[in-house]
Amino acid sequence: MLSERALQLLTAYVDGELSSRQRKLVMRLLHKSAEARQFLKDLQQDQRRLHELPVRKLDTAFAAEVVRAIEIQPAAPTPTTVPLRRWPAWTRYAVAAAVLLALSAGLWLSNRQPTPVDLIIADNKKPAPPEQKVPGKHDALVASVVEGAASGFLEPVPPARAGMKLDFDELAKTQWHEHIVGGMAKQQAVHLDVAVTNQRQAVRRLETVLQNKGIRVVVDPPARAKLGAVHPRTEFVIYAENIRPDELAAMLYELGTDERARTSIEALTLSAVTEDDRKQLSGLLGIKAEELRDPPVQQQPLGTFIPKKDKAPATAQANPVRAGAEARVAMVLANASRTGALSSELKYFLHQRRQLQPGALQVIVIVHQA
Amino acid sequence: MNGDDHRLVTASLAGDTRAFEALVIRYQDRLFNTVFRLVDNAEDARDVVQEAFLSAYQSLGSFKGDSLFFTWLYRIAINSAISMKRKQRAVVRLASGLESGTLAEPADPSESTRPGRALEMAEEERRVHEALARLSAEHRAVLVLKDMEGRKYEEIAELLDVPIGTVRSRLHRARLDLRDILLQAEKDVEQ
Repeated sequence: MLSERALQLLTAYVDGELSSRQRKLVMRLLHKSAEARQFLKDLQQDQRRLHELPVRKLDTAFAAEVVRAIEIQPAAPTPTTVPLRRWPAWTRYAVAAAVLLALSAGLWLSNRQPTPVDLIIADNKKPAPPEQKVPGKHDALVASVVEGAASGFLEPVPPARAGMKLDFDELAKTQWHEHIVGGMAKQQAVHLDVAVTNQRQAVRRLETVLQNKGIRVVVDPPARAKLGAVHPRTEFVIYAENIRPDELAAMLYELGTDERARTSIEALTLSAVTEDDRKQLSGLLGIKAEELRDPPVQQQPLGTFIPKKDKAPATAQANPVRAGAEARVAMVLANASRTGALSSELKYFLHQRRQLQPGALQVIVIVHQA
Repeated sequence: MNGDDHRLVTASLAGDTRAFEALVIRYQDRLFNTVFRLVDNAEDARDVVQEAFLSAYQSLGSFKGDSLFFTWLYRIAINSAISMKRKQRAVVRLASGLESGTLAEPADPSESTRPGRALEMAEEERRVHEALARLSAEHRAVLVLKDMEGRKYEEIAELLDVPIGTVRSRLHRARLDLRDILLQAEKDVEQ
């Protein structure tokens, strides 16, 4: 049995990082011990096996993709400049104090803002118009103070959204499947709040599970631009229709077994869709709220967007809600104010919308930073 | 810094994305090959490499030029690969990523012409890749950097931002663990 010291010398010998004195020690050890010789031979063979692993290469389109992502970044790199003059030492303390003050103020203010779960498809940039405040909807005391004394200055704190929260590890467990399927059977729509650590990866994983069910995923260009950012901070909305509860449960299970999703998704909360959700979503889609429940038949003109796989026939398995029906389409949107005309992608999505099938759901997914 | 890299970095800072594309083309495969061995599968490796280039581009202004551009880029990619592995909570993915669409080239092209060699190589790669996947992210990183990249302790320490003594001890432990895993795998095959 080789000592720990002998093993250390042998592994460092393989590394080629021994002093001449240590090398002599190893030579002496090898001369005396057959076990050391065999062990060294094994280590060298392992090293060779690693060294001989085939070289992996990226596809030729990779560099162009990186450049495309760079070109949609909001800001180009700028050289770091050296300040021309040094500020007196006391300014550092003054700056530190100012930063602390600003942070305290920020924390105080953030405590008065709705939590991400409550900000359902909310337009973060635009404060809610006063007429949307419903007395009694929130904490009565807070609401009366706010509306009576500081109307338009502070928002009342909305109640926490009730729902079924599942940590990522729970997704791959089957105990909750029946619960979801049973609970959603009487719903027409479901809200899925997804807390993530990597927006881009999480959206990609969600797209994959949808596509695996034969659902075509269309990304609105503003969302695509934001997803191309290194660390996107925007919330994303994925909206799909005609999803059966058991199908949704299967998608969540698939997500839970996806190791790549594990690194980007932390938890999901399932809840019922509220009227506010519908209003916000219809705003993002550029349609009237009532059209969310009952889509007009091909009212929207088809834009210039033609998805690559549009010619592929939808199989009965791919669309279990209605065998032989056209493929379903899900839309990925950035959860921000819509400016300008509808994109061709969004027009395509609206054009593909169909009446909700009996027993099927509208699914609103909000992807936000955990 | 390499003179040509310096020229391309300067041009990139001036807003020339084609110059940055040239840097991507120059280093993408070396980076991908290393990251692929750290994160198990080609798709994650591609993501990590892409993020590394995008992060590098965004931080190009802070790149001081006192180290090689590639070393700097490497540090970004390897740290994010290790962080990804830590999050995956040491789940072993058998034969993952090897079937992906990325291109694999044999280390010795002449060998690949022997009949049956391709199958043997694929099997050997699977065995070694699986063994690597069982190591911790930290142990895997030092082994890949040492045995596949041929880097010295000092360079590995700089890349991983750890003392040289830590590199030495991690490599020692990684080699012993790899030996045990490969030995066990050989026993399993014999049974």
